[in-house]
Amino acid sequence: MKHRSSIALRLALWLSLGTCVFWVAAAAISTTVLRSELEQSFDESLRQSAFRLLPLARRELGQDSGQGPGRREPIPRMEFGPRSRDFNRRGPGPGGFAVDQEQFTYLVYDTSGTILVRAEDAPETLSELPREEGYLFVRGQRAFAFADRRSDLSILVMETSDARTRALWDAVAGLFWPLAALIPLLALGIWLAVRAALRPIERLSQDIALRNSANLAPLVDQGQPAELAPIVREVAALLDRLRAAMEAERAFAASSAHELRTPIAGALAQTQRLGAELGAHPSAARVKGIEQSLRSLSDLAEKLLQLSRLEAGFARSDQCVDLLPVLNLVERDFQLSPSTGGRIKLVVDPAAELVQKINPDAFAIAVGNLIRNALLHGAADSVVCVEAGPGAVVQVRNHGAVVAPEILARLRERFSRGPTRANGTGLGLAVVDAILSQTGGQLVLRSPAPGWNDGFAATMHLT
Amino acid sequence: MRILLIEDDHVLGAAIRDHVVADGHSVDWMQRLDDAQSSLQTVVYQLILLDLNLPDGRGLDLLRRLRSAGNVVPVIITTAQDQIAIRIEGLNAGADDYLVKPFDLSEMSARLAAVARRSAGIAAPQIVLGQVNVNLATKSVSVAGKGVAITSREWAVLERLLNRPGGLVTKSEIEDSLYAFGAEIESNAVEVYVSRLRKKLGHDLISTVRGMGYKIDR
Repeated sequence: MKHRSSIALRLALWLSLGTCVFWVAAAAISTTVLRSELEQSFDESLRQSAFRLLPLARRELGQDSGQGPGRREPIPRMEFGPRSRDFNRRGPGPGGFAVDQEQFTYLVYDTSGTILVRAEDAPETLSELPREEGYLFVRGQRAFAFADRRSDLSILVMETSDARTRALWDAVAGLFWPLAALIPLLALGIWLAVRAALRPIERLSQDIALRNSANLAPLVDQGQPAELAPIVREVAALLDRLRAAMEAERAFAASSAHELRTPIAGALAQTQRLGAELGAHPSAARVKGIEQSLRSLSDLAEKLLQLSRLEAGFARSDQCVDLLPVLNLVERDFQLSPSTGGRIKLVVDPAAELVQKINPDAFAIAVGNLIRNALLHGAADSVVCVEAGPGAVVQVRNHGAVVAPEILARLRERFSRGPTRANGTGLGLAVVDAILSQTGGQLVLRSPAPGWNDGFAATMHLT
Repeated sequence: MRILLIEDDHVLGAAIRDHVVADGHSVDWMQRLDDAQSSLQTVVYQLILLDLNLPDGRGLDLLRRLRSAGNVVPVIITTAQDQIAIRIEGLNAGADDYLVKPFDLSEMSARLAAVARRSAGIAAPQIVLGQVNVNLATKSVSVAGKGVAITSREWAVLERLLNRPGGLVTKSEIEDSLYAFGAEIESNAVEVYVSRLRKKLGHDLISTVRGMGYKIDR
């Protein structure tokens, strides 16, 4: 069977994917904004550091006024920075100013390009020292240069760590990790929500699936959401049209039966009269042959019409029907017939469950066919046992030759006949089988009949 | 018996009529309900063969009218409809039996005789009248164990008398059993058939009620 795609699965998948894409897009935009803010913040830190370090450096240089401005030894481990990630590692800077050694370093130089003050981790030389105030990149690191016009001193503050990048990545990770963790939960939530939203469709689908030729009851309209109301309405209209068409088909089949039976009855009766009037005339044998052919034609037409009615799905009943009166009526027909009277023995068990959802005509056809088969193909003049119950079971047993299992297996096929010389249409058991299939029952054929050494038994399990 | 056959199909109706006549009964064949209604107002029938679907209405309506008027004449429905509901409806409406078309004429004869017997209150088809043994089912008669051949007309007279055991059957009632509408009634036909029956079955079997009719004492 071809695998069919699921709307719920597709919806859940696409909704999850869509949500993820929007989440990623939102995170990307946030990252961009955040990066810009971080850049500004770190740049401002650089600038503020330059503004504050230069006066300190100038004073330090001024305290050595006897020597005048000149090159000083590198200042060891100056730490500064407003927002150290590891505040415990702070140490004293110029004037006791606390700086973070990992983030900034600096150079103080004069207009001639002579480096006057240098932090320990600052480069000893630079190919070109900036003269103008502003941001720039030095050896791939962000830096800020500031020149004090009064002292002719300039300072270059450079970042020495990847704190800027690390902060950005930390922020990005903070945005994306929850997404990764929440994706399964999100998908589960979407799946459950979609399933809940699609439940009315499932109910409608199951309701429609219950409809068949035997059940064309209106769909359950209550509790259906507004989106499904047009479907329910249209399906109800379709079922109405289908019901009308099937009713017409059933009526046509029943009417055909009526229209066909009357001329056959006329022909048969006239032939019988002709045979009676001819008496011992040589032509009487031919008339007998015609009569036999007419009977066969009548039987065949009857069975074909039964099949035709079955194809219109008439066997199942919406209401429970008491089948006992029907069984008695069928048995009465056979008892009153001079050719079969006295050959039927009906036994109804007190525990028989004969109130079933079966069309009484279909049940009468099924029992009638089984009894007719038993009378026709069973041992001549033997009694046919019709037993109802216990339970929803009706069994017809007859004495006669045992039917081989391979023949038994195909007896319910249309136009299939057992090892019998009696005339038959080969449709009787097929009709019974079709009736029980339509009503949810089962036909079981056995030979020899249960409890006997010979014969044949057809058991109808009605449910 | 005088039987009313109500059947609109010409071919079938003619065959049934001929067969019932051959059985020794008289038959009035009507093809419409209104004609049948008129016949019922003028003739007392011993049995009606009633088709359900007729050009001017349903046979069941006629049956209901009959029963509501207190008419208990036995009715056998002949129908091409095999629906259980219609059969039950027919029986509930007062039908004594029904035959689904197509049916064997011999079966129809048997059903007809069985219904007539039941209607006359005769449970068993076997009637023993002294030395005379009559089987209503097989239409056979024997006297002191020896079979006696009787004609269909003679049988019709005998059956008519047997259907009212110990009761008077008027000459006109017997004539009704022998002749249908339009048939020319021979003035002394009843006397002739009664005489023949006495000759074959014994002179004491049928008593004459002077000026009124005949009866069989049981």
